[in-house]
Amino acid sequence: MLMHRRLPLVLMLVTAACGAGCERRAEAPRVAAKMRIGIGLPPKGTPGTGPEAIIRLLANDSWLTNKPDGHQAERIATGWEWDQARTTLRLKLRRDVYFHDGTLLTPELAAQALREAARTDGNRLTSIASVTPVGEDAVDITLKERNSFILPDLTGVFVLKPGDPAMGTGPFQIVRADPKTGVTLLGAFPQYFRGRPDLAEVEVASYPTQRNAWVAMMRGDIDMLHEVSREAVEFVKAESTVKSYQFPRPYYIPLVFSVRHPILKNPEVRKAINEAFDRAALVRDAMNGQGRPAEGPVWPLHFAYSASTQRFAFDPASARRRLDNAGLRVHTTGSGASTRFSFTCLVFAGDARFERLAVLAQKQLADVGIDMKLQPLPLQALATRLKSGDFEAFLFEFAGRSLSWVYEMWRSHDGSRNNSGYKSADAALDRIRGARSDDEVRQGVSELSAVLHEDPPAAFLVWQTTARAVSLKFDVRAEEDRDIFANPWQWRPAGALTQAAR
Amino acid sequence: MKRITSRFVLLIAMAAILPLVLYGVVSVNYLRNGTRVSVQDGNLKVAKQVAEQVSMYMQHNERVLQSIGSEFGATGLTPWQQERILKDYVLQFPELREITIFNGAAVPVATSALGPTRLVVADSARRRVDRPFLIEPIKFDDDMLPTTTITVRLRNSEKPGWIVGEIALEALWKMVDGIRVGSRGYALVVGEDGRLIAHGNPDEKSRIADPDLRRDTPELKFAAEFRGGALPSRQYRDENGEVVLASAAAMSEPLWTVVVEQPQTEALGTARSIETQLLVAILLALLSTIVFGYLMGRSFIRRIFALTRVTRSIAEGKLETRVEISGHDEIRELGDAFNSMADRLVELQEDIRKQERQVMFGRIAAGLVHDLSHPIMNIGNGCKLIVKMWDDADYRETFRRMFERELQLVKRVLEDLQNIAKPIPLERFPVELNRSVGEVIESMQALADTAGVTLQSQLSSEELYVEGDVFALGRVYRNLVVNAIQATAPGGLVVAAVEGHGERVQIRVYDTGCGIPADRLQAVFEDFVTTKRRGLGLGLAITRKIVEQLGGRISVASEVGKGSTFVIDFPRTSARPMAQAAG
Repeated sequence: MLMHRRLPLVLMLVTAACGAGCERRAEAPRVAAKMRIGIGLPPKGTPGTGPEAIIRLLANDSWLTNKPDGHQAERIATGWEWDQARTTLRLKLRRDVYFHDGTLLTPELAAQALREAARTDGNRLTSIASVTPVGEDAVDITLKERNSFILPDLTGVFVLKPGDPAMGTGPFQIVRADPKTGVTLLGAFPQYFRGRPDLAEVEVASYPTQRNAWVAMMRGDIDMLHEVSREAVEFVKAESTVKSYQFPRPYYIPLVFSVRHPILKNPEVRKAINEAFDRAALVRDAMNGQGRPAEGPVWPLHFAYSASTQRFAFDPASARRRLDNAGLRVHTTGSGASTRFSFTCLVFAGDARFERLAVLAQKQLADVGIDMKLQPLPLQALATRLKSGDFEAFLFEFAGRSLSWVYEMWRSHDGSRNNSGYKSADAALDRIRGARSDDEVRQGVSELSAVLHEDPPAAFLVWQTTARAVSLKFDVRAEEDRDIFANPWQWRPAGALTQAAR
Repeated sequence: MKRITSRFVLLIAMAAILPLVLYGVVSVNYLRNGTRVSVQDGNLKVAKQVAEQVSMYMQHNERVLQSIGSEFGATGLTPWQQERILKDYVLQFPELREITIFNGAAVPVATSALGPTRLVVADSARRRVDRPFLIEPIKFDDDMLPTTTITVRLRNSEKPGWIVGEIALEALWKMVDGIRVGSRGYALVVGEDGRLIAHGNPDEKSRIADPDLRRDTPELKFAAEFRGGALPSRQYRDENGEVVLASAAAMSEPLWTVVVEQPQTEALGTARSIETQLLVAILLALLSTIVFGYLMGRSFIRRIFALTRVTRSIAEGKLETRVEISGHDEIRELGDAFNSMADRLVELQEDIRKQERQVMFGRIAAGLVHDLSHPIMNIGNGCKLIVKMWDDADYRETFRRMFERELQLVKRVLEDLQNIAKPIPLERFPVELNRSVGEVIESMQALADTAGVTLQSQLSSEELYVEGDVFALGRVYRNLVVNAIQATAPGGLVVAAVEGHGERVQIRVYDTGCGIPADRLQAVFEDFVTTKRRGLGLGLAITRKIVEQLGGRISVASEVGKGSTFVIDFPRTSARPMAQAAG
């Protein structure tokens, strides 16, 4: 009798518990709200950067996603399995994924999409030989050769409808884009596989600089500041109507050398330059403390990163000795400067993140007698020069969370975005690429670190810390040390009803 | 008694409450005004210090640029070297966003910027050759944030030119942000054109970047009016409707104004807290005074009231009543003295009673002796004679009559004594007064003749009936007539008159005797009171008792030397004797 009376309560609890564990949320009354995101753009962007990258993040989903330690986690693909030779990868797909036009993602469409991505997505998926649909919810990816980077690469490849690359599967779909104003409006995608987002709309607006975007936030023109400029971090933190979210950004800033340069081709000179940098001072004085010193291109949180890696300490005396030993003694040039040698460093113009860092780096090198001339260039021109190898050195940022990105930047190959002529790490990088296990990856990374220390292709200066700011009108469900852009479908108006779960 | 209570309350009010209230009013008033003035003075000092700091900040930047100018002018550096130095300065002094050197033609020679410089030499600087430096008015950059430039004239005669430094006012913000007055008081800086250029409240910074900034906000109006000569301190409501205390200080170079604002609730918070504590303390003191005064007064007045009540009680004859007063003070002593006095009063009363009883006993004894001695003596004499004259039949008859008469007299005296002690048995029948009075007057003519007094009756022409006992009424008439005859000297007149007055009937007995003194007039009807030398004095007392038992009233009027008049008043009755009614 008692059990009968309690049955409804038990059922309710069971239902609630089941709902809490399920991924898709049930439809429930929601507050129609629009979040306005402001992005401080460089004067001229390139495809895939700036607002476009943010819009793609909101409108698309990748096949897999990265964990903070560099391993992968499910997204559109819920699982994966290698064959014995590790040349065929079977991806298990979700069955409830729809493109924005309502088309269901089938294994056939997935295979087509992957084939198109392999054809168009630069160097990342070039190792794919074929993609075959398997059954009702899987595809087999056959590789030309063993490639451990295929999984991390799939975290950076969006699921796009074959024949219509504008059609994604993300939580928001583009409603309208105005190239004149730089404003793009996205609407919630009701059939999103993780449930309809709580926000009805997201508007992405671009501003000439990060500072300009910050001013827009102060005025209340936007609700989220995509990236808070280093100078404004303190002010934003002090505001009571805005919450700032800081997280380590997996982008490092190296001073990359061209090994074709007659002097810079000498590894001793590059080691000397590495020793000439006081990286802690760079973080403190040039980045307003918003970063940490870098000793290599491997993300410090990556599972293969080793804290015992050999690194260059700030040692100007040693740097001078190395330069002296290399025959580079101080002399007076025709312009009246006393220097050991000169080289020109290309810098991304108009972006405060790099300008101050470049000037301080210039000063630190001058302290050991190296004259680093700074040449600011717009982003497009800079990218062209880097690709063509037309530089002596450059200062820019590279992505570093995935080892595939490290491979992409530091493995010599045709069409590389970093055509510095450096090849010393090729073998170590290839070994990482062909690794069969995490241990082999760790071994390869250790070998790579040793090579990069003995024959440094660059002075790895700093890892960046980024801050985003969000109006307290919104709850972005932030997790510690994670980018809030990892979960845009969970953003919602502050105080909105907690969604019941199925 | 109300007066002593009122006086007591007034005493407490004047002695304790009024001074406390006055003290409270004066203290609170002083505290409020004093604190307000003190806060405004303090805030004014803060505003001046901030103004000085901002001035020093600008002077510091100006000196930095001047030192660069001196360095460049003296050493003849190449543009390459100059650029390196400029970059060093920019790294060293983050408040300088960019420094550019211009030659005499205002063409840039070297700059700290990575690309082409954005700075120019302002026309005003080129015109004002008399000034070594010039701070440009605030302008808003591409990001809509306020900025300014300092232009320093290079004094090197060989290479005239300018150094222009762009000042990042965000660095100024940090300085202003560091200024806090209390926890909610902030400093703000207003430019020479009345625009807000720095605000210490992080949530108000958005107003700096507002292109449509209103200049009629209270703080900007205050800054403008202060610049126009108004007082440096003011109280107003801010945009949020909160009352703030503001103080302003002016800068001379540049012409900016620093305003320090603090919400009144916070600025006067401590004072308000003290004020509240003071008021609470005063209220508690007042309450204590009232309670203490009430308790003290109640204790004092209650004992006075107790004394009053007991005094009244004693005055009402309750001599056994005593007052109980607690304490060890004079009131207690007064109460004890009062009780002693009451004890003594009881003793005295008892003494008086004893004396009165003795007097009464003496009078009764004398009256009995007087009233009984004569009959007894007559009987005694008669007894002696009858032995001698036993054979004389006439004498025996005379003796018998005398013996009966004297015994009747003795019997009447004894009856009077008995009637005083218990009610007289009466039988009420309709009695015609003319007849009853006439019979008594007639029967007493012999006594009047003996006394030499003329006794007359004046009867009414109509029959006047009352409900009465004919024998008792006869005794009443006899008492009054006997008294009148005894009080009247020979030759005098005694009259008994019967009169009808509507529903009332009166019997009036008056004489031309000696009269009764006024001070004894009211006592003549009391027991054992007599104006005569001898006798029990029961006659009139019995008379009154009979009259009142029959439903009548008796009164007396008298004048010494002229005579007395006794008036008996009965209600008239329409009833008639049974025999008459039957006939």
